[in-house]
Amino acid sequence: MINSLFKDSHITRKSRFSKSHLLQSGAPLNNYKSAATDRTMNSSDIIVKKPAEISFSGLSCANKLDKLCTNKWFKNMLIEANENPVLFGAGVALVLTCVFRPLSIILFPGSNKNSDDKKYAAAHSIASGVIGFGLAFVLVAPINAAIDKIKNKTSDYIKKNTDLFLKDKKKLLNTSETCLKQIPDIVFAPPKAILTIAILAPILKNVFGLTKKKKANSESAIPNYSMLNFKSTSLPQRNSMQSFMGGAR
Amino acid sequence: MLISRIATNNFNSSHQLPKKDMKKTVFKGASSVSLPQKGSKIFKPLKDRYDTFTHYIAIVLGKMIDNKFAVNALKKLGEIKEGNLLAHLIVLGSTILSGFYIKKTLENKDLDAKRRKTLAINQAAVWALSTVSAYTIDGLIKKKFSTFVDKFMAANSHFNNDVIEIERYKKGLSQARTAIVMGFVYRFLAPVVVTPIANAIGNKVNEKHSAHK
Repeated sequence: MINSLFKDSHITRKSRFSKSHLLQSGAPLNNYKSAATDRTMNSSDIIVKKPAEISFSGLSCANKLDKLCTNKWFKNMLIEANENPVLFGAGVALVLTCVFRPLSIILFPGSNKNSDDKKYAAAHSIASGVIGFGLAFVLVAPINAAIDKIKNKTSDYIKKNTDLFLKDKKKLLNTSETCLKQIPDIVFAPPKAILTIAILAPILKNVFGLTKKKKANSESAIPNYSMLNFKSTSLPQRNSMQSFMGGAR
Repeated sequence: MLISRIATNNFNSSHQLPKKDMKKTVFKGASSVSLPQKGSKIFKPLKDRYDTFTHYIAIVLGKMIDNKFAVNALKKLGEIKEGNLLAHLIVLGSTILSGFYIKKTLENKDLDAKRRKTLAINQAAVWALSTVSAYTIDGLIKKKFSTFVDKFMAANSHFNNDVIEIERYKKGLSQARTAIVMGFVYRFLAPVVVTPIANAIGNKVNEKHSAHK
C-alpha cells in the first residue's frame, strides 16, 4: 500500500537492487536480494504492476448486504424457516398471493378479461392466500409441539428403535423431523383445498362484495314480450302479429 | 413486629434488653402474599388439554416412525441433502394436490367429456412445467446462494465457535431458499406465466387428437 504512493512504484526492477535504492523507494528491506544471488536476471527484466485500486466499501452494496446479514428480523426469519418450514412457506405464499399476484393480474396489459373479472381474480388470490396461511397455522402448531415432545423425550414415544434414532448426532431423528413437519402440506393438502373452495365464495361475497356473474344462456327462461307491443311500428313485430293465428287448436 | 420493650439506642449495658426478653422478630409480610405462579390460571385448563392433545399426536407420530419400514425409508432419505429433501417433499405435496384436482375434474359431471379432458390435460401440463421450472431455478440459484451463505457467516463471525448456532442458521438459510423458490414458482409463476403456456399446449394436443379422429 505504501509502495503505491511513490512515483514509478508500479515499475519494479528485479535485478541490481541495492540497499540504498530500496530505502529510497520505501520498499521493505526484507525483500532485498543481493545481486550476487540473482546473477541470472537481466536489467531488461522490468515488471510493471498495476497501481493499487482504491475502493470505498462504504458506498458499495457490500455494506448493505452486511447490514442484511446482521439484521435481527432477517435472523429471526431464518430461525423460523428452520423450525417451522411449512409456516414459513405459507407466509411466503401469503405475500405472493396477496401482493404480487393481484398486482400482476390488475396491471398485466395482455389479459382479455374485463375489470370486474380482474377484480374477482385478484380477490380470489388474496382470499386463497389468507385461508392457506390460516389453515397452515392451525395445523402446524400442534404437530410441531408433538415433534418437540418426541425430540425432548424420545424414549417415551419411540420404544423399539430408540438407540437407532439417537445415534450419529440424532441423524435419523432430524430426518424424521423434516419429514413429519411436512405432514400439514402433504397429507392435509386435499382437505385444505376442499375447505378453501368451500369458504372462498362466502368470503368473496361478504368481505369483498364480489359475486361471479353467471354467463347468460342462449335459451333464456325469461319470455320475450316484444311481440305483444301493439304500439310498435317496426315491421317485424307487425308481421308477427299479422301472422298470429291464435292460441290452442 | 412484637418486642416486649423498646430497645434504646444506648450502649450502656444496663439499659439493654436481656436476651430472653427480646423476641425474635418475625416478618410475616412475605407469607401473607402468595408469589405469582408461572403462567395464567385462567388458561391453565386449556393449556393442559392442549398438552394432552399434543401428547396423543406425539404417540401417533412415534408409532408412525417406530417401525422397520419407516426406519429404512428414513435412512435412505437421510442420505439426501437437507435442502434437496425439503424441495422433494414440497414437490410431492404439490403432486398430490394436482392429482386430486385432476381426479375431481375428470369426475365433474357438469362438464362434457371433451371439456373435462382438456382441463385435466391443462392441469397436468401446469404441474409438469411448474415442477421442472422449480427444480431448474433452484439449481441455478444454489451456486450463487453458497457465496451468500459464506458472506452471512463472515458477517456473523461472533458465533463462529458455536457449532449449534452455525448449523441452525445454515439450515435456516437452505430451507428459506427452497421455500421461497418453490413458493414463487407454484404461487406466482405457475398462475401468471405457466398456465397460458400449458393452455396453449393443451389446445394443440386437443386439436391433434380431434384431427386424428
